[in-house]
Amino acid sequence: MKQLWSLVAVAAIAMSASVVAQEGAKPAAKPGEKQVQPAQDGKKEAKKDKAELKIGDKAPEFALKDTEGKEHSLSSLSGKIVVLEWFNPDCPFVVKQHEKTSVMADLVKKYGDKVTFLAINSSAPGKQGSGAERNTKAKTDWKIDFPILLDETGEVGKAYQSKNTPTMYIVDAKGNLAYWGAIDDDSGAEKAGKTNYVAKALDELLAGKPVSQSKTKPYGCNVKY
Amino acid sequence: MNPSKSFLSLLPSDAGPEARRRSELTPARHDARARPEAGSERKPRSFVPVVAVGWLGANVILAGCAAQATAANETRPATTGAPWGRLTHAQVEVLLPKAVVPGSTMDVGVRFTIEKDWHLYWNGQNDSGTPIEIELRMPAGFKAKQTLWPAPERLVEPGGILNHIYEREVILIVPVEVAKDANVGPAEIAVESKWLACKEACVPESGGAKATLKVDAVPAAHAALYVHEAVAKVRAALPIELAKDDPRVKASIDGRRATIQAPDAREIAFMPGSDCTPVKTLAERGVARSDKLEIELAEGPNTIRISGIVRVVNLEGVRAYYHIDTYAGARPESGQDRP
Repeated sequence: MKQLWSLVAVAAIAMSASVVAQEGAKPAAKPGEKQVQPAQDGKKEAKKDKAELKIGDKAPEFALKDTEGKEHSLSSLSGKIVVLEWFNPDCPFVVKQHEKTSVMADLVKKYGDKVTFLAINSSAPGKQGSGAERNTKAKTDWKIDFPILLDETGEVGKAYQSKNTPTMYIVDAKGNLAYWGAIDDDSGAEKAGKTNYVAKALDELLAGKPVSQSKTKPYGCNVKY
Repeated sequence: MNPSKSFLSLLPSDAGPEARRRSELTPARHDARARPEAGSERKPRSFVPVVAVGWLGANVILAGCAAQATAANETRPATTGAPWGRLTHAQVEVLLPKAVVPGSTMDVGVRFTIEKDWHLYWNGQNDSGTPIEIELRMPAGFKAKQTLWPAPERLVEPGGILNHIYEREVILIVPVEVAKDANVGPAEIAVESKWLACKEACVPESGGAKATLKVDAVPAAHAALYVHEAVAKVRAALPIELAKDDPRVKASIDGRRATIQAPDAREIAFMPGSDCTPVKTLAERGVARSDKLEIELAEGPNTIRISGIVRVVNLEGVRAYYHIDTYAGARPESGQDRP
Protein backbone atom coordinates (compact mmCIF):
# COMPACT_ATOMS: atom_id res chain seq x y z
CA MET A 1 0.00 0.00 0.00
CA LYS A 2 2.78 2.31 0.96
CA GLN A 3 4.41 1.70 -2.40
CA LEU A 4 1.23 2.58 -4.21
CA TRP A 5 1.02 5.91 -2.43
CA SER A 6 4.64 6.59 -3.27
CA LEU A 7 3.84 6.01 -6.93
CA VAL A 8 0.93 8.41 -6.75
CA ALA A 9 3.16 10.95 -5.09
CA VAL A 10 5.76 10.63 -7.84
CA ALA A 11 3.08 11.03 -10.50
CA ALA A 12 1.74 14.07 -8.71
CA ILE A 13 5.14 15.67 -8.48
CA ALA A 14 5.81 14.93 -12.12
CA MET A 15 2.52 16.55 -13.08
CA SER A 16 3.21 19.67 -11.08
CA ALA A 17 6.64 19.84 -12.69
CA SER A 18 5.10 19.62 -16.16
CA VAL A 19 2.81 22.52 -15.30
CA VAL A 20 5.85 24.51 -14.37
CA ALA A 21 7.54 23.41 -17.56
CA GLN A 22 4.75 24.94 -19.60
CA GLU A 23 4.73 28.16 -17.67
CA GLY A 24 8.45 28.56 -17.33
CA ALA A 25 10.66 29.71 -20.11
CA LYS A 26 12.70 27.41 -22.25
CA PRO A 27 16.13 26.62 -20.94
CA ALA A 28 18.46 29.48 -21.73
CA ALA A 29 20.58 29.17 -24.82
CA LYS A 30 23.44 30.61 -22.87
CA PRO A 31 23.54 31.31 -19.18
CA GLY A 32 24.32 34.75 -17.83
CA GLU A 33 28.03 35.20 -17.72
CA LYS A 34 29.50 35.86 -14.41
CA GLN A 35 32.20 38.44 -14.48
CA VAL A 36 35.10 36.17 -13.77
CA GLN A 37 37.71 38.09 -15.71
CA PRO A 38 36.86 41.73 -15.29
CA ALA A 39 40.02 43.05 -16.92
CA GLN A 40 39.19 41.34 -20.21
CA ASP A 41 35.57 42.36 -20.09
CA GLY A 42 36.63 45.92 -19.55
CA LYS A 43 38.71 45.98 -22.69
CA LYS A 44 36.07 44.32 -24.80
CA GLU A 45 33.16 46.53 -23.82
CA ALA A 46 34.93 49.81 -23.28
CA LYS A 47 35.20 50.60 -26.98
CA LYS A 48 31.50 50.27 -27.60
CA ASP A 49 30.07 52.61 -25.02
CA LYS A 50 32.21 55.69 -25.31
CA ALA A 51 29.30 58.04 -25.84
CA GLU A 52 26.54 57.80 -23.33
CA LEU A 53 23.15 58.47 -24.86
CA LYS A 54 21.57 61.55 -23.32
CA ILE A 55 18.21 63.28 -23.42
CA GLY A 56 18.27 65.79 -26.29
CA ASP A 57 20.66 63.68 -28.37
CA LYS A 58 19.69 62.61 -31.87
CA ALA A 59 17.80 59.34 -31.40
CA PRO A 60 19.80 56.50 -32.97
CA GLU A 61 18.51 55.61 -36.44
CA PHE A 62 17.18 52.12 -37.08
CA ALA A 63 15.60 50.10 -39.84
CA LEU A 64 14.00 46.92 -38.54
CA LYS A 65 11.43 44.47 -39.83
CA ASP A 66 8.22 43.87 -37.93
CA THR A 67 6.56 40.51 -37.28
CA GLU A 68 5.03 40.60 -40.79
CA GLY A 69 8.33 41.37 -42.48
CA LYS A 70 7.59 45.02 -43.12
CA GLU A 71 10.49 47.41 -42.55
CA HIS A 72 10.19 50.48 -40.32
CA SER A 73 12.84 53.13 -39.99
CA LEU A 74 13.01 56.06 -37.64
CA SER A 75 14.06 58.44 -40.40
CA SER A 76 10.87 57.66 -42.35
CA LEU A 77 8.92 58.98 -39.36
CA SER A 78 10.64 62.34 -39.17
CA GLY A 79 8.31 65.13 -38.17
CA LYS A 80 6.35 62.78 -35.95
CA ILE A 81 6.56 62.03 -32.27
CA VAL A 82 7.52 58.38 -31.84
CA VAL A 83 7.07 56.25 -28.74
CA LEU A 84 9.31 53.18 -28.51
CA GLU A 85 8.52 50.35 -26.14
CA TRP A 86 11.28 47.82 -25.47
CA PHE A 87 9.37 44.59 -25.64
CA ASN A 88 9.56 40.93 -24.63
CA PRO A 89 6.21 39.11 -24.51
CA ASP A 90 7.45 36.72 -21.83
CA CYS A 91 8.71 39.32 -19.38
CA PRO A 92 6.18 39.67 -16.55
CA PHE A 93 6.58 43.45 -16.50
CA VAL A 94 5.65 43.62 -20.20
CA VAL A 95 2.76 41.30 -19.45
CA LYS A 96 1.67 43.81 -16.84
CA GLN A 97 1.34 46.71 -19.23
CA HIS A 98 -0.39 44.72 -21.98
CA GLU A 99 -2.40 42.02 -20.24
CA LYS A 100 -2.80 42.65 -16.53
CA THR A 101 -3.53 46.33 -16.98
CA SER A 102 -4.58 48.56 -19.85
CA VAL A 103 -1.62 50.90 -19.42
CA MET A 104 -0.32 50.57 -22.99
CA ALA A 105 -3.75 50.30 -24.58
CA ASP A 106 -4.80 53.50 -22.80
CA LEU A 107 -1.77 55.36 -24.12
CA VAL A 108 -2.47 54.23 -27.67
CA LYS A 109 -6.15 55.12 -27.33
CA LYS A 110 -5.36 58.59 -26.07
CA TYR A 111 -2.36 59.50 -28.23
CA GLY A 112 -2.51 57.03 -31.14
CA ASP A 113 -3.79 59.57 -33.67
CA LYS A 114 -1.00 62.08 -32.93
CA VAL A 115 1.89 59.83 -32.04
CA THR A 116 3.49 56.74 -33.67
CA PHE A 117 3.95 53.73 -31.42
CA LEU A 118 6.53 51.01 -32.09
CA ALA A 119 7.60 48.05 -29.98
CA ILE A 120 11.14 46.76 -30.34
CA ASN A 121 12.17 43.30 -29.21
CA SER A 122 15.93 42.79 -28.81
CA SER A 123 15.78 39.16 -27.66
CA ALA A 124 18.53 37.21 -29.42
CA PRO A 125 17.40 34.20 -31.49
CA GLY A 126 16.56 31.30 -29.19
CA LYS A 127 16.31 33.50 -26.14
CA GLN A 128 13.17 34.25 -24.22
CA GLY A 129 10.47 36.06 -26.19
CA SER A 130 12.32 35.95 -29.52
CA GLY A 131 11.04 35.29 -33.01
CA ALA A 132 8.25 36.40 -35.31
CA GLU A 133 5.93 33.59 -34.26
CA ARG A 134 5.97 34.36 -30.55
CA ASN A 135 5.59 38.08 -31.11
CA THR A 136 2.79 37.66 -33.64
CA LYS A 137 0.95 35.64 -31.02
CA ALA A 138 1.48 38.34 -28.41
CA LYS A 139 0.29 40.98 -30.88
CA THR A 140 -2.91 39.00 -31.47
CA ASP A 141 -3.49 37.96 -27.86
CA TRP A 142 -3.00 41.45 -26.52
CA LYS A 143 -4.63 43.21 -29.51
CA ILE A 144 -1.55 45.37 -30.01
CA ASP A 145 -2.32 47.58 -32.99
CA PHE A 146 1.19 48.90 -33.53
CA PRO A 147 4.14 47.04 -35.07
CA ILE A 148 6.51 44.88 -33.05
CA LEU A 149 9.99 45.20 -34.59
CA LEU A 150 12.50 42.40 -34.23
CA ASP A 151 16.04 43.42 -33.34
CA GLU A 152 17.62 39.98 -33.12
CA THR A 153 21.20 41.24 -33.36
CA GLY A 154 20.51 43.57 -30.44
CA GLU A 155 22.21 46.43 -32.29
CA VAL A 156 19.33 48.83 -31.94
CA GLY A 157 18.81 47.94 -28.30
CA LYS A 158 22.47 48.56 -27.58
CA ALA A 159 22.43 51.85 -29.54
CA TYR A 160 19.57 52.97 -27.28
CA GLN A 161 21.43 51.50 -24.28
CA SER A 162 18.25 49.68 -23.39
CA LYS A 163 18.73 47.29 -20.49
CA ASN A 164 15.17 46.59 -19.43
CA THR A 165 11.94 45.35 -20.81
CA PRO A 166 9.89 47.39 -20.75
CA THR A 167 11.83 50.62 -21.31
CA MET A 168 10.01 53.55 -22.88
CA TYR A 169 11.59 56.15 -25.16
CA ILE A 170 9.98 59.17 -26.76
CA VAL A 171 11.55 60.68 -29.86
CA ASP A 172 10.30 64.21 -30.57
CA ALA A 173 9.28 65.58 -33.98
CA LYS A 174 12.87 66.74 -34.57
CA GLY A 175 14.18 63.22 -34.06
CA ASN A 176 15.71 63.95 -30.67
CA LEU A 177 15.40 61.84 -27.56
CA ALA A 178 12.80 63.51 -25.33
CA TYR A 179 12.07 60.82 -22.73
CA TRP A 180 13.85 57.68 -21.52
CA GLY A 181 12.72 55.48 -18.69
CA ALA A 182 9.86 53.65 -17.04
CA ILE A 183 6.28 53.83 -18.19
CA ASP A 184 5.05 54.71 -14.70
CA ASP A 185 5.93 54.83 -11.04
CA ASP A 186 4.93 51.32 -9.97
CA SER A 187 7.92 49.06 -10.40
CA GLY A 188 6.02 45.89 -9.54
CA ALA A 189 4.62 43.41 -12.03
CA GLU A 190 0.99 43.62 -10.96
CA LYS A 191 -0.59 47.05 -11.20
CA ALA A 192 -0.33 50.39 -12.95
CA GLY A 193 1.38 53.29 -11.23
CA LYS A 194 -0.22 56.54 -10.14
CA THR A 195 1.84 58.67 -12.50
CA ASN A 196 2.29 57.66 -16.11
CA TYR A 197 5.54 59.34 -17.13
CA VAL A 198 4.99 58.70 -20.83
CA ALA A 199 1.53 60.29 -20.83
CA LYS A 200 2.90 63.26 -18.92
CA ALA A 201 5.79 63.71 -21.35
CA LEU A 202 3.50 63.36 -24.38
CA ASP A 203 1.07 65.96 -22.98
CA GLU A 204 3.97 68.38 -22.56
CA LEU A 205 5.45 67.67 -25.99
CA LEU A 206 2.08 68.02 -27.73
CA ALA A 207 1.54 71.34 -25.94
CA GLY A 208 4.91 72.52 -27.23
CA LYS A 209 6.43 72.51 -23.74
CA PRO A 210 9.71 70.97 -22.63
CA VAL A 211 9.42 67.58 -20.93
CA SER A 212 9.66 68.21 -17.19
CA GLN A 213 10.66 64.67 -16.22
CA SER A 214 12.67 63.38 -19.13
CA LYS A 215 14.57 60.55 -17.46
CA THR A 216 13.37 58.01 -14.95
CA LYS A 217 14.75 54.68 -13.85
CA PRO A 218 13.33 51.89 -15.99
CA TYR A 219 12.24 48.75 -14.21
CA GLY A 220 11.64 45.17 -15.28
CA CYS A 221 13.52 42.26 -16.79
CA ASN A 222 16.90 42.46 -18.43
CA VAL A 223 16.91 42.61 -22.22
CA LYS A 224 17.75 39.12 -23.50
CA TYR A 225 20.66 40.09 -25.75
CA MET B 1 18.84 9.42 -1.46
CA ASN B 2 19.07 13.12 -1.95
CA PRO B 3 15.52 14.43 -2.07
CA SER B 4 16.44 17.97 -3.01
CA LYS B 5 18.30 16.70 -6.04
CA SER B 6 15.43 14.57 -7.23
CA PHE B 7 13.10 17.53 -6.82
CA LEU B 8 15.28 19.92 -8.72
CA SER B 9 15.84 17.51 -11.54
CA LEU B 10 12.14 17.67 -12.32
CA LEU B 11 12.20 21.36 -12.96
CA PRO B 12 12.59 22.61 -16.51
CA SER B 13 15.44 24.89 -15.67
CA ASP B 14 17.63 22.08 -14.51
CA ALA B 15 18.27 21.02 -18.09
CA GLY B 16 21.32 18.83 -18.32
CA PRO B 17 23.41 20.48 -21.04
CA GLU B 18 22.94 23.92 -19.62
CA ALA B 19 23.65 22.84 -16.10
CA ARG B 20 26.90 21.36 -17.33
CA ARG B 21 27.84 24.50 -19.22
CA ARG B 22 27.01 26.53 -16.19
CA SER B 23 29.24 24.44 -14.02
CA GLU B 24 32.18 25.48 -16.15
CA LEU B 25 32.07 28.81 -14.40
CA THR B 26 34.02 27.30 -11.59
CA PRO B 27 36.12 30.26 -10.46
CA ALA B 28 33.16 32.33 -9.37
CA ARG B 29 31.38 29.32 -7.97
CA HIS B 30 34.32 28.42 -5.81
CA ASP B 31 34.56 31.96 -4.62
CA ALA B 32 30.92 31.95 -3.70
CA ARG B 33 31.34 28.74 -1.79
CA ALA B 34 34.34 30.05 0.03
CA ARG B 35 32.26 32.81 1.58
CA PRO B 36 31.23 31.75 5.03
CA GLU B 37 27.61 32.80 4.60
CA ALA B 38 27.29 30.91 1.39
CA GLY B 39 28.94 27.66 2.21
CA SER B 40 28.72 26.95 5.87
CA GLU B 41 25.12 25.92 6.24
CA ARG B 42 24.52 24.14 2.98
CA LYS B 43 22.99 20.77 3.63
CA PRO B 44 20.64 18.88 1.41
CA ARG B 45 17.20 19.82 2.59
CA SER B 46 14.17 17.83 1.69
CA PHE B 47 11.95 19.68 -0.74
CA VAL B 48 9.51 16.83 -1.12
CA PRO B 49 6.98 18.04 1.46
CA VAL B 50 7.11 21.47 -0.13
CA VAL B 51 6.25 20.03 -3.50
CA ALA B 52 3.34 18.15 -2.06
CA VAL B 53 2.01 21.25 -0.33
CA GLY B 54 2.46 23.49 -3.33
CA TRP B 55 0.89 20.95 -5.59
CA LEU B 56 -2.03 20.53 -3.23
CA GLY B 57 -2.91 24.16 -3.73
CA ALA B 58 -2.65 23.84 -7.46
CA ASN B 59 -4.74 20.76 -8.02
CA VAL B 60 -7.71 19.94 -5.90
CA ILE B 61 -8.76 16.71 -7.59
CA LEU B 62 -5.75 14.65 -6.58
CA ALA B 63 -5.11 16.55 -3.38
CA GLY B 64 -6.32 13.73 -1.19
CA CYS B 65 -3.89 11.30 -2.73
CA ALA B 66 -0.98 13.67 -2.36
CA ALA B 67 -1.78 14.37 1.26
CA GLN B 68 -1.88 10.70 2.08
CA ALA B 69 1.27 10.10 0.10
CA THR B 70 3.00 12.72 2.16
CA ALA B 71 1.64 11.32 5.37
CA ALA B 72 2.94 7.92 4.36
CA ASN B 73 6.44 9.33 4.07
CA GLU B 74 7.51 8.77 7.63
CA THR B 75 11.02 10.05 7.10
CA ARG B 76 10.10 13.59 6.20
CA PRO B 77 11.68 16.22 8.44
CA ALA B 78 9.87 18.32 11.00
CA THR B 79 8.07 21.24 9.41
CA THR B 80 8.64 23.89 12.07
CA GLY B 81 9.89 26.99 10.30
CA ALA B 82 9.80 25.15 7.01
CA PRO B 83 8.70 26.92 3.86
CA TRP B 84 5.13 26.84 2.72
CA GLY B 85 3.34 28.20 -0.29
CA ARG B 86 3.33 27.23 -3.91
CA LEU B 87 6.12 25.90 -6.05
CA THR B 88 8.59 28.72 -6.56
CA HIS B 89 12.20 29.14 -7.60
CA ALA B 90 13.10 30.17 -4.08
CA GLN B 91 11.85 28.99 -0.71
CA VAL B 92 11.67 31.24 2.31
CA GLU B 93 12.19 30.29 5.95
CA VAL B 94 12.32 32.15 9.24
CA LEU B 95 15.36 31.38 11.39
CA LEU B 96 15.01 32.20 15.06
CA PRO B 97 16.96 31.65 18.24
CA LYS B 98 15.30 29.16 20.54
CA ALA B 99 14.60 31.82 23.11
CA VAL B 100 14.81 35.55 23.74
CA VAL B 101 14.84 37.63 26.91
CA PRO B 102 12.51 40.66 27.23
CA GLY B 103 14.46 43.92 26.95
CA SER B 104 17.02 42.55 24.49
CA THR B 105 17.64 42.58 20.74
CA MET B 106 17.81 39.44 18.64
CA ASP B 107 18.54 38.68 15.01
CA VAL B 108 15.73 37.22 12.96
CA GLY B 109 17.04 35.50 9.84
CA VAL B 110 14.99 35.23 6.68
CA ARG B 111 16.56 32.55 4.56
CA PHE B 112 15.94 32.15 0.85
CA THR B 113 17.00 28.85 -0.64
CA ILE B 114 17.31 29.54 -4.34
CA GLU B 115 16.97 26.97 -7.09
CA LYS B 116 20.14 26.14 -8.98
CA ASP B 117 21.03 28.70 -11.70
CA TRP B 118 18.35 31.17 -10.56
CA HIS B 119 19.01 34.36 -8.66
CA LEU B 120 17.31 36.99 -6.50
CA TYR B 121 18.22 40.67 -6.28
CA TRP B 122 20.13 42.82 -3.80
CA ASN B 123 18.60 46.15 -2.76
CA GLY B 124 21.37 48.35 -4.18
CA GLN B 125 21.63 49.64 -7.74
CA ASN B 126 20.82 47.13 -10.44
CA ASP B 127 20.22 47.52 -14.17
CA SER B 128 17.20 45.24 -13.99
CA GLY B 129 15.27 43.13 -11.56
CA THR B 130 13.55 43.94 -8.27
CA PRO B 131 15.03 43.62 -4.79
CA ILE B 132 13.68 41.06 -2.34
CA GLU B 133 10.93 42.51 -0.12
CA ILE B 134 10.21 41.11 3.32
CA GLU B 135 7.70 41.99 5.97
CA LEU B 136 7.64 40.47 9.45
CA ARG B 137 4.53 39.85 11.51
CA MET B 138 5.35 39.67 15.20
CA PRO B 139 3.61 39.80 18.57
CA ALA B 140 3.15 43.08 20.43
CA GLY B 141 6.35 44.38 21.96
CA PHE B 142 8.53 43.17 19.05
CA LYS B 143 10.00 45.92 16.88
CA ALA B 144 11.91 45.31 13.64
CA LYS B 145 14.87 47.54 12.80
CA GLN B 146 16.58 48.13 9.44
CA THR B 147 17.19 44.92 7.49
CA LEU B 148 20.84 43.95 7.04
CA TRP B 149 21.77 42.65 3.60
CA PRO B 150 24.77 40.39 3.01
CA ALA B 151 27.16 41.36 0.22
CA PRO B 152 25.79 40.24 -3.15
CA GLU B 153 27.67 38.99 -6.19
CA ARG B 154 28.14 40.92 -9.41
CA LEU B 155 26.48 39.45 -12.47
CA VAL B 156 27.31 40.94 -15.85
CA GLU B 157 25.01 39.78 -18.61
CA PRO B 158 25.16 40.34 -22.39
CA GLY B 159 24.59 43.95 -23.37
CA GLY B 160 26.58 45.25 -20.39
CA ILE B 161 23.70 44.63 -18.01
CA LEU B 162 24.98 44.66 -14.43
CA ASN B 163 23.07 43.25 -11.52
CA HIS B 164 23.96 42.44 -7.93
CA ILE B 165 22.46 39.14 -6.99
CA TYR B 166 22.20 36.24 -4.63
CA GLU B 167 22.47 32.67 -5.80
CA ARG B 168 21.89 29.41 -3.94
CA GLU B 169 21.11 30.93 -0.58
CA VAL B 170 20.87 34.25 1.18
CA ILE B 171 19.92 35.11 4.74
CA LEU B 172 18.62 38.63 5.33
CA ILE B 173 18.91 39.70 8.96
CA VAL B 174 16.31 41.77 10.75
CA PRO B 175 17.43 42.92 14.21
CA VAL B 176 14.34 42.85 16.43
CA GLU B 177 13.96 44.67 19.73
CA VAL B 178 11.91 42.80 22.28
CA ALA B 179 10.32 45.13 24.79
CA LYS B 180 10.85 44.69 28.53
CA ASP B 181 7.14 44.06 28.98
CA ALA B 182 6.79 41.54 26.12
CA ASN B 183 4.60 38.57 27.03
CA VAL B 184 6.49 35.58 28.34
CA GLY B 185 5.81 32.29 26.57
CA PRO B 186 5.82 31.11 22.97
CA ALA B 187 5.93 33.82 20.30
CA GLU B 188 5.33 33.32 16.59
CA ILE B 189 7.18 35.30 13.94
CA ALA B 190 5.94 35.13 10.37
CA VAL B 191 7.45 36.59 7.22
CA GLU B 192 5.66 37.59 4.05
CA SER B 193 7.97 38.08 1.12
CA LYS B 194 7.97 39.04 -2.55
CA TRP B 195 10.88 38.61 -4.90
CA LEU B 196 11.76 38.41 -8.55
CA ALA B 197 13.52 35.17 -9.47
CA CYS B 198 15.47 35.25 -12.72
CA LYS B 199 17.52 32.87 -14.74
CA GLU B 200 16.97 33.79 -18.35
CA ALA B 201 13.31 34.26 -17.59
CA CYS B 202 12.14 36.35 -14.68
CA VAL B 203 9.26 35.28 -12.48
CA PRO B 204 7.69 37.47 -9.79
CA GLU B 205 7.11 35.22 -6.82
CA SER B 206 5.98 35.42 -3.24
CA GLY B 207 5.94 33.24 -0.21
CA GLY B 208 5.85 33.19 3.51
CA ALA B 209 6.99 31.20 6.48
CA LYS B 210 6.77 31.25 10.22
CA ALA B 211 8.56 29.96 13.24
CA THR B 212 8.19 30.07 17.00
CA LEU B 213 10.52 30.96 19.81
CA LYS B 214 10.17 31.25 23.55
CA VAL B 215 10.16 34.54 25.40
CA ASP B 216 11.92 33.68 28.66
CA ALA B 217 11.60 35.76 31.81
CA VAL B 218 14.86 34.51 33.22
CA PRO B 219 17.99 34.24 31.06
CA ALA B 220 18.81 30.64 30.31
CA ALA B 221 22.23 29.43 31.27
CA HIS B 222 23.30 28.66 27.72
CA ALA B 223 24.00 31.67 25.49
CA ALA B 224 23.64 29.56 22.36
CA LEU B 225 19.89 29.64 22.88
CA TYR B 226 19.93 33.34 22.02
CA VAL B 227 21.43 33.02 18.55
CA HIS B 228 20.65 30.95 15.51
CA GLU B 229 23.97 29.58 14.33
CA ALA B 230 23.43 30.15 10.60
CA VAL B 231 22.23 33.70 11.22
CA ALA B 232 25.20 34.43 13.47
CA LYS B 233 27.57 33.30 10.71
CA VAL B 234 25.91 35.61 8.20
CA ARG B 235 26.06 38.49 10.66
CA ALA B 236 29.76 37.92 11.17
CA ALA B 237 30.28 38.08 7.40
CA LEU B 238 28.24 41.26 6.80
CA PRO B 239 30.15 44.13 5.19
CA ILE B 240 32.35 45.88 7.72
CA GLU B 241 31.37 49.39 8.80
CA LEU B 242 34.37 51.65 8.34
CA ALA B 243 35.29 54.08 11.06
CA LYS B 244 36.28 57.61 10.05
CA ASP B 245 39.79 57.56 8.56
CA ASP B 246 39.82 53.79 8.64
CA PRO B 247 42.95 52.86 6.67
CA ARG B 248 41.50 49.72 5.14
CA VAL B 249 39.43 51.43 2.43
CA LYS B 250 39.61 55.04 1.29
CA ALA B 251 37.30 56.79 -1.13
CA SER B 252 37.99 60.22 -2.56
CA ILE B 253 35.92 62.31 -4.92
CA ASP B 254 37.35 64.70 -7.49
CA GLY B 255 34.79 66.43 -9.65
CA ARG B 256 32.78 63.69 -11.31
CA ARG B 257 35.36 61.02 -10.68
CA ALA B 258 35.93 58.96 -7.59
CA THR B 259 38.77 56.74 -6.48
CA ILE B 260 38.47 53.85 -4.09
CA GLN B 261 41.72 52.53 -2.67
CA ALA B 262 42.63 49.66 -0.41
CA PRO B 263 46.23 48.89 0.56
CA ASP B 264 47.31 45.32 -0.13
CA ALA B 265 44.40 44.72 -2.48
CA ARG B 266 44.87 42.79 -5.66
CA GLU B 267 41.28 43.37 -6.68
CA ILE B 268 38.66 45.98 -5.76
CA ALA B 269 35.02 45.93 -6.79
CA PHE B 270 32.37 48.52 -6.05
CA MET B 271 28.69 47.76 -5.69
CA PRO B 272 26.69 50.99 -5.45
CA GLY B 273 23.92 51.24 -2.88
CA SER B 274 20.50 52.59 -3.74
CA ASP B 275 21.41 56.13 -2.67
CA CYS B 276 24.80 56.28 -4.39
CA THR B 277 25.23 58.83 -7.18
CA PRO B 278 24.82 56.83 -10.40
CA VAL B 279 28.12 55.54 -11.73
CA LYS B 280 28.88 55.24 -15.45
CA THR B 281 29.72 51.94 -17.18
CA LEU B 282 30.05 50.02 -13.96
CA ALA B 283 29.44 46.73 -15.77
CA GLU B 284 32.80 47.12 -17.47
CA ARG B 285 34.69 49.20 -14.95
CA GLY B 286 33.31 48.18 -11.58
CA VAL B 287 36.21 45.85 -10.84
CA ALA B 288 39.91 46.77 -10.85
CA ARG B 289 42.68 44.25 -10.60
CA SER B 290 44.81 46.50 -8.49
CA ASP B 291 44.70 48.39 -5.20
CA LYS B 292 42.83 51.28 -6.80
CA LEU B 293 39.46 51.51 -8.53
CA GLU B 294 38.55 54.64 -10.46
CA ILE B 295 34.94 55.28 -11.27
CA GLU B 296 33.22 57.96 -13.27
CA LEU B 297 29.95 59.44 -12.11
CA ALA B 298 26.99 60.18 -14.33
CA GLU B 299 25.84 63.77 -14.78
CA GLY B 300 23.54 64.89 -12.03
CA PRO B 301 23.27 67.04 -8.93
CA ASN B 302 26.40 68.58 -7.46
CA THR B 303 26.16 66.67 -4.23
CA ILE B 304 27.98 63.44 -4.84
CA ARG B 305 27.60 60.46 -2.60
CA ILE B 306 29.64 57.31 -3.00
CA SER B 307 27.89 54.70 -0.93
CA GLY B 308 27.65 50.97 -1.16
CA ILE B 309 29.78 47.91 -0.71
CA VAL B 310 33.46 47.61 -1.60
CA ARG B 311 34.74 44.10 -2.15
CA VAL B 312 38.43 43.75 -1.58
CA VAL B 313 40.52 40.70 -2.45
CA ASN B 314 43.86 41.01 -0.72
CA LEU B 315 47.22 39.72 -1.92
CA GLU B 316 46.60 36.40 -0.19
CA GLY B 317 43.33 36.02 -2.05
CA VAL B 318 41.11 36.62 0.99
CA ARG B 319 37.89 38.50 0.34
CA ALA B 320 36.50 41.20 2.60
CA TYR B 321 33.51 43.48 2.26
CA TYR B 322 33.19 47.04 3.53
CA HIS B 323 30.41 49.62 3.59
CA ILE B 324 31.55 52.98 2.33
CA ASP B 325 29.71 56.28 2.45
CA THR B 326 31.58 59.35 1.27
CA TYR B 327 30.23 62.74 0.25
CA ALA B 328 31.37 65.71 -1.75
CA GLY B 329 29.25 68.83 -1.43
CA ALA B 330 26.40 69.23 1.03
CA ARG B 331 25.63 66.14 3.04
CA PRO B 332 22.26 64.65 2.16
CA GLU B 333 19.69 64.91 4.92
CA SER B 334 18.58 61.33 5.21
CA GLY B 335 21.60 59.14 5.34
CA GLN B 336 20.37 56.21 7.35
CA ASP B 337 19.44 53.94 4.47
CA ARG B 338 21.58 50.94 3.79
CA PRO B 339 23.14 50.15 1.50
